Amino acid sequence: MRIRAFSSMVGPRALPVNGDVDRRRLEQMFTAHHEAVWRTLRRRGLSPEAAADATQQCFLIAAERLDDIRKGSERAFVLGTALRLASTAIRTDRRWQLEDNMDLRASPARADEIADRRRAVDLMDRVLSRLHPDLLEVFVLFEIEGLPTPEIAKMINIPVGTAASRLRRAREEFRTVVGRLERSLRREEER
Amino acid sequence: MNDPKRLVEQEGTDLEKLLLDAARRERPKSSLVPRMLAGLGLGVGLTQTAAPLAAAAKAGVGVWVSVGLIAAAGAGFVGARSLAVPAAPAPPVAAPAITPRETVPTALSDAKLRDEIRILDRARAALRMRSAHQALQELRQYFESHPRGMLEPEAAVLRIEALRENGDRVQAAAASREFLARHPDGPLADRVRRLAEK
Repeated sequence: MRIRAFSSMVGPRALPVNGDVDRRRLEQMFTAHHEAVWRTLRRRGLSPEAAADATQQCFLIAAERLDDIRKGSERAFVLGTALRLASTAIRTDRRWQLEDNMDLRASPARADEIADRRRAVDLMDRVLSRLHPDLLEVFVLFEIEGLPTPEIAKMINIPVGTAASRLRRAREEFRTVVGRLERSLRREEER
Repeated sequence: MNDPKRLVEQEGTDLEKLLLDAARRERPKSSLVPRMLAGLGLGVGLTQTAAPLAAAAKAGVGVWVSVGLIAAAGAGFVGARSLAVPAAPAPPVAAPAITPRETVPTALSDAKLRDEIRILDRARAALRMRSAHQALQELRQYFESHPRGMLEPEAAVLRIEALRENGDRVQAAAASREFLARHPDGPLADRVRRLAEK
């Protein structure tokens, strides 16, 4: 496996013969996938800024391994890399605690306030923080990023049946938590 | 094996759809994107397209730049004061060409950031032309003009590369050590370490 130094993308010393081709490919990858990478990192608990740093890191790694990334598997590569980076990053950049007694309504207190998108995203992350990380990965990639389960399975190196099973359990847990939240909000409104 | 329908498309409750929809629509704010691009050495297109983008922003069209292409930042969330859910968006795999938006991204009106990117683009171009002296002059201007610049880490790494290209290994090594002391876990730290090992 040939690893090309990232400096070749920006510096003058080792610009490869096909540098422009590689550069265009990296640009296309960034354009097509940086939002999904950033969102996936966000859903794993990184702040917007930390997610941007990790997204950059993710594409730096992609630049170094451009020759190893098969055509058509760019999304799988960058999202898979993002998930691995997230495992490290969340240890130093947690936005919330995962205690069982965490108040899901700590930020938005009323149903009408949830209509604000930022609050909704915050609430979503609080809901997702209740899911086991293994289930969370599959859920986010399927429900938010729209990937099919075979692609998810390949990305995180698990059998397709396991991915389907994790998705089923993740949806059950997600719906249970949101259901509790919804009942709580309705009670709040009735008061 | 057939995948089930996504909750946001069919089966979900209103609240489930609302939360999923908000998460699907979330995008990095526009000021974060130039920073990511600059760190990747892909910022040239941004500088070149800044003027027409600013004009488009003045015309009331929200725009967002990515690698010389114009991509949409995504439609703003229409926040009804109920749990009503808008129609589910297409899977957010690729950004559409251009989308009206309620607010003008702040980065586009941020002349300071544009200036930072412009100087770093010039420094990077000089390095490509193997003109380390010119690159160092550009970077000197960067640090004088933007002592607390948003792209300071990227500028510092370019300076290390320029110093090495200029044959000034001692200063380059000192700059690398200083960089790693300030940004030991930053996204550019590995790159600096690799440069130092060469």
